[in-house]
Amino acid sequence: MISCAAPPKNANVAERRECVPATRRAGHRFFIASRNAAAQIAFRSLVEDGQRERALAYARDHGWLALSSDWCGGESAFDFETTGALAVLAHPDRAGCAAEHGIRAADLGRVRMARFLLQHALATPLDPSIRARVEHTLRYGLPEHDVPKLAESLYRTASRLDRVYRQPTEEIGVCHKVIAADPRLSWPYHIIGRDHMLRGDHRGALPWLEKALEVGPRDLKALYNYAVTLEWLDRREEAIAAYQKVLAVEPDNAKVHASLGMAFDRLGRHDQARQHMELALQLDPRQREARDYFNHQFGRDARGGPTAFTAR
Amino acid sequence: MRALTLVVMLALVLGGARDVEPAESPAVLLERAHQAYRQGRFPDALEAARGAAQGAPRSRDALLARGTMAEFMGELDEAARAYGDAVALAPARRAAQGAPRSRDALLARGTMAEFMGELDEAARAYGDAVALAPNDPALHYALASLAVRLGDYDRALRELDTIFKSQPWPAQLLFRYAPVSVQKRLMASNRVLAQLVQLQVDILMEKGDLGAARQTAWRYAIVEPGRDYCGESKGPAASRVSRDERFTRLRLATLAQPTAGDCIWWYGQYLTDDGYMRLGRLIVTEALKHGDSEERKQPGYRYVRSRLAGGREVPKRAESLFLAARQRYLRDGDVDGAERLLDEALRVAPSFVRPYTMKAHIAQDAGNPDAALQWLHRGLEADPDSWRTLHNLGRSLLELERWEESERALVKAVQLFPEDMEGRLRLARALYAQGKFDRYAAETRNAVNIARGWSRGSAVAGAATFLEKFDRWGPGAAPPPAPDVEPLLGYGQD
Repeated sequence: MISCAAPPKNANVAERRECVPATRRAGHRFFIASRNAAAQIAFRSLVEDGQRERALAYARDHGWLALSSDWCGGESAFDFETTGALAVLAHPDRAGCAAEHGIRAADLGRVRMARFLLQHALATPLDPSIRARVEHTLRYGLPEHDVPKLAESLYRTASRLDRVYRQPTEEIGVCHKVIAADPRLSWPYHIIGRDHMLRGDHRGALPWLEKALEVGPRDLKALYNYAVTLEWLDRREEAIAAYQKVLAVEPDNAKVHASLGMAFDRLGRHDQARQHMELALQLDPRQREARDYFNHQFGRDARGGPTAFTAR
Repeated sequence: MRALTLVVMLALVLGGARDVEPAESPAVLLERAHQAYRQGRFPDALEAARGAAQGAPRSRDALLARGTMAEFMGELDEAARAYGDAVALAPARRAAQGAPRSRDALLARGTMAEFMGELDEAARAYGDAVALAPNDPALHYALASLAVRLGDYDRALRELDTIFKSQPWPAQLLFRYAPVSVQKRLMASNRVLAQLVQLQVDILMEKGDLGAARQTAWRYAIVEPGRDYCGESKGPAASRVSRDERFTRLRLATLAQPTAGDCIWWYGQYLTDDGYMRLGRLIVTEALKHGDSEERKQPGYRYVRSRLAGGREVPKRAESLFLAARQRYLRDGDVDGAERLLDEALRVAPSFVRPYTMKAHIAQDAGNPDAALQWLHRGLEADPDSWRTLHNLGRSLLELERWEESERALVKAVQLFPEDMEGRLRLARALYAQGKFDRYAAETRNAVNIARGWSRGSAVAGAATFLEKFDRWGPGAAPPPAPDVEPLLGYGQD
């Protein structure tokens, strides 16, 4: 069985033939998406602006509602935000299916869209674990206040300059514009602080991270990086307290357990270090820092494979 | 009458409800703990987290919350217990143990048993699974893996061959007859096949057929002609790569460059450190065939003598049991399981010294230094030239202030491994305690010079300062420091 999404180069003719219907569907989706690229932006703007009826009418006028009877399942031609919003508008009673889209949107800094999707998802019956994630994202993954549209758009630009184009100088310039547009948003301060960290300038990072936490005390990413920075500056007890604050909210975050474990280890508190490393590995068996820690302490775990090479 | 009964019942129910307040659910308590923590009410947070963990003792979130809050409040024992309970919720083994006798359950049980070093249990589980699904490639891979751990290399190669033969015939044809250029693409596009070939190469090496291993590596483009793998594992650029990456480069150098004696030698040392006695011995012996004069090979011969049981063969089963036991003790904290495996290893191979050293380590950790010394002495009876056993014996005796005995053990340890910085510093301390000050100074000077040569000067800085003061003012009341020094390649990890 081969994957039709990305068939291997050595797939044979029969296998490729099996993929024809899937390939045709994918081509059709691509055609629909490219023809509606601009319309999707307009649609999302209406949704983010709270104009639900107009957005729904817009989708109907463009024939999107006829494309699928179920926006909660199956393949969609549109991007995840448009798909999630269509799911909420077309099937409000099943808006919970947009929860994952909302969490992803929050992770990318799409404040308004994330809030729209998550709040509607929360209003419907949800699996308890998904409900917990939605509530967690609303509480800790998004700013508490309403972010001006200009600030959000600029932040998205900064985010793309960072993640896609790797242009830190331009990214920082845009971050300063975000701060001018909305001084209460913690994210740009965090990005600037993180940029200092990446350049090894931990002393320079600290005031930016402190500012991020001052305006957004629930910003867990900023809090985590604040802890890392404190550790670099040899303020280890404070770093430990900051890691523990993150863990109090996200007790199953393997990365933070591993970082806390390393902080304890550097302080010579080896029992506590080991406890957190064990937890990190239990939560995520691939957690690299914890694995390295144990390998350094106890040698390579030969049980992982029958030979020295395969155990690695 | 009916109305009266109803009133009485209502009164009872409502009265009962007032007396017994409904308990809050663990989820509510957990949320309350988080809220209290956010508001800075830490004692309340801990109390709520305790309630949540007591109400849901199998909930990882509740246990983690209790651990975090308790640790924050300085209740370290309580935190340790909560974290320990959270870690103990390991699902895989319980699921495998309680599962029915399906192919999946048996494979899971066998894999877990193999991982834990329970080799007979693994063999039984795999055997039962193969009876249910005789053509399953995953089961044949598992059998090959177990056969390697038991030293049955021919069986392991047969199992791999069975997997290759189960592929569609065009793939088999390609795999068997296609030229190297095609194999390279085949391996790049088929990771499973590539892993099987890598395992085959390892098995051939461990079987002692390095020539066939090299041929297979060429045949399937694991190594490329003309590439200097040995050079890539040296120099400043190589110092930045991880230990694993360096290991991989040295392995490739061993396969691709049969005359690169130094890289083959290092590869052998890596393997010895990791506890692979058989392959380590074969590779170090191979390295000693190449290169320099007999005189320059003396450290190599000494290495075989002091680290590789004098070149004597260690049964593979004993090696595998030791490897699993070590990790069960160190990583899993499973003292009983580790001791059982070590006892089994010693039954299989009474002259294999590492299990004795490990037993001594366990006894020492358990606060029983006499038992530790006994195990070390038994180890030396089995292998009188084991550097590690002598080094550890000298160290244990030093801690017990048995200076002369410590001196004897450490003198021999540093003869077997002259660059044993830590051993020399401990020897120096034993000598100092006995008033043998000239020899103390000589050993310390030696250790400091060696440490500086290996970029470990900072580790011995205290010893160097002490020696300077000694040179200036003579002996004082306090003993010289004997710090831990990171061992050199080939002498660590045990």
